[in-house]
Amino acid sequence: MMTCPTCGEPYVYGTLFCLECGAYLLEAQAITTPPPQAMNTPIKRPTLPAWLQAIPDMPPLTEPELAEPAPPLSPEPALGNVTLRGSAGYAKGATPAGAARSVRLFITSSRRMVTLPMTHEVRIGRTDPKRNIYPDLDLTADGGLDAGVSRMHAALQFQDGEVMIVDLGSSNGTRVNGVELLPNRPQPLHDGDELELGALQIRVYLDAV
Amino acid sequence: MGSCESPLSSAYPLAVQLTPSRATLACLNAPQVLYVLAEIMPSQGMGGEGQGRGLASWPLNLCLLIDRSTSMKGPRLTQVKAAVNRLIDALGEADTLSIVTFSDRAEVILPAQRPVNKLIAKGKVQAVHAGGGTEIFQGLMYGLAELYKGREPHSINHLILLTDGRTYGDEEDCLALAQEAAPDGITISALGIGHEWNDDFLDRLAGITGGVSVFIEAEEQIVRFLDEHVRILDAAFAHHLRVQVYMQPGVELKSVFKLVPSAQPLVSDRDTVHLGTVPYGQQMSLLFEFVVQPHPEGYHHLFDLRFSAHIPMADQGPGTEDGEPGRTTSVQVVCDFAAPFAANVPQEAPPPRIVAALGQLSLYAMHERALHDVEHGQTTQATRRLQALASRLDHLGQTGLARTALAEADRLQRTGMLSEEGRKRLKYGTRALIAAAPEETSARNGGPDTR
Repeated sequence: MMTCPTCGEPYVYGTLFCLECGAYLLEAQAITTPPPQAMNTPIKRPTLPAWLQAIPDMPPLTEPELAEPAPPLSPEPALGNVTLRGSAGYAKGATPAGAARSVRLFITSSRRMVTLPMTHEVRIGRTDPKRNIYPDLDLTADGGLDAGVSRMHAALQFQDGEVMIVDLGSSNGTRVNGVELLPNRPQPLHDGDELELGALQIRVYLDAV
Repeated sequence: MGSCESPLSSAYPLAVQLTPSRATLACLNAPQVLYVLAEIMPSQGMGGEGQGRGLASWPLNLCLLIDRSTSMKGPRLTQVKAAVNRLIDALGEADTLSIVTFSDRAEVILPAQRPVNKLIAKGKVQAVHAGGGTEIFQGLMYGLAELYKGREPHSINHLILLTDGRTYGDEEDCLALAQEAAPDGITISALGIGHEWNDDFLDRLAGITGGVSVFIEAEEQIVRFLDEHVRILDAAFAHHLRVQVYMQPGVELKSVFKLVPSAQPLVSDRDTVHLGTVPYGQQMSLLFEFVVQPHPEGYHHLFDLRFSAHIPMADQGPGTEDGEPGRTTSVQVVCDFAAPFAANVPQEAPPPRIVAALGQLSLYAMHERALHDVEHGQTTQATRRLQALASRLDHLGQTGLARTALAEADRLQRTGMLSEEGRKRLKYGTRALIAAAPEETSARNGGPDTR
């Protein structure tokens, strides 16, 4: 098997075109040897920045609450009586600011878990090769277009161990726990927060040290 | 391996060239896809421009199956009549024509006739009036019966269905009839007028027999389509072309698509795939998609393609008993396909012709998949696919089609349904792109060396 580098759709080896996004799959064919440099005009496609690519993420495709009760949280959060809509009793605000070291995002539509390091700003959106827009986290394969995710929708920023979300002037807006963000105004995120980009739901996990 | 002419190639009228998507297959522990482009063309000195036409013009044995349901009333029927009149005028002394109309009931208005009394035929056509529902089966049965009556050993037997509606409940029976007729060298083409007809059904009906299905959006196009259609038939160099696919264990045929002369999905679920006719001065291109299970290193025989066709012959050909000697002969070209498997296959760019063909085909396939999704209630996925298709079309400069795709994606999102109109425009529009793809095939020497 191989996968389409643009949209991640799996294909039988030897397939030449992706029927999901129309991408030419020649580059995905390299299995035994790296591609020779002389290739005839491969279609330009997004590349993740090296620092993001290096992170082994996405293997757990089951929602964590199904597998195990919770990500490493402090026992029972004493603080928050605030239970989130629809979630299995997560409390927010459980992790003190400054304690998080990595961010995990669980994208509900595709049941994909993405782990992000807190070293660089992570721009979230939808890849558009034609307009040369390559966000760090591409939500195309998660139904981003359908859910109204803008090409450059939002960004995660990290300051002193605190995680901030900022809406980059998206068409359909960004909400944290149902509260609409003003564009370009960073707002802190907490463990268990429910993030919505357009209609795309993402649950935020901040892993404590 | 690449070129597959029979040993007597110089004396043989047909040549087939196979181009695989990769010269060497990889030893994997998983299945892999192998595309094979098959190009069927007249051998050197045969069927070329000029030389061909004089040889023998094949008598046509045509049946027109005309929908006269209520919806045909007005300009549609008027245009159909005009088109049929032109067709009648163009018929020669040796040609046979029959005309069947149908609504709720079918009627043979012109039994198979040779030579055609043009005045009478036109009079019958003029008297057709619209009214009633659409039931194709009975008409198809009558039409095929007339074709069988008018059949000669070397005639081109063709039924043209002109319809604008859906037939309900008798689709499977119609397909069964087509399946029976195909081995007897009968092809069926379907011209769908307007937006309301069942494209899947007409595609299959035509695909089973090696005919074509065409979307006619505006009445004014009917005359031109029919003209063109008959002209191509009349210029047939080889007819009743068909291929039998014999696969070795571990090889599976996933699909066959006719790219040229007219783009048409073919029905691959039976051992003989009917391909229709090849016009003079042209070739036919087919794209096969195989799935190959893991093989150990070494050379492996994967499949045989056996092409058969009826060809008009001057005196010199290796005649067979089939047909009249000196007029027509039945030829066979057998292509064995074997390929090396190796553990370490350097990545190679597939032959440009295959990439070009698949690139065009993929647009059509994307749309087909979206339709499939819609049918299975997967609107989100279908919407996404249509949007991806739109951006690909836009990229290729097909702004009109791209706009249609976007509009349909939008409609799908809002209503969960596609419009009949958009669905057909996209289906036949993307299909037309395949046939219109610049024929790189003339630069045949540019092909890869597949030793």
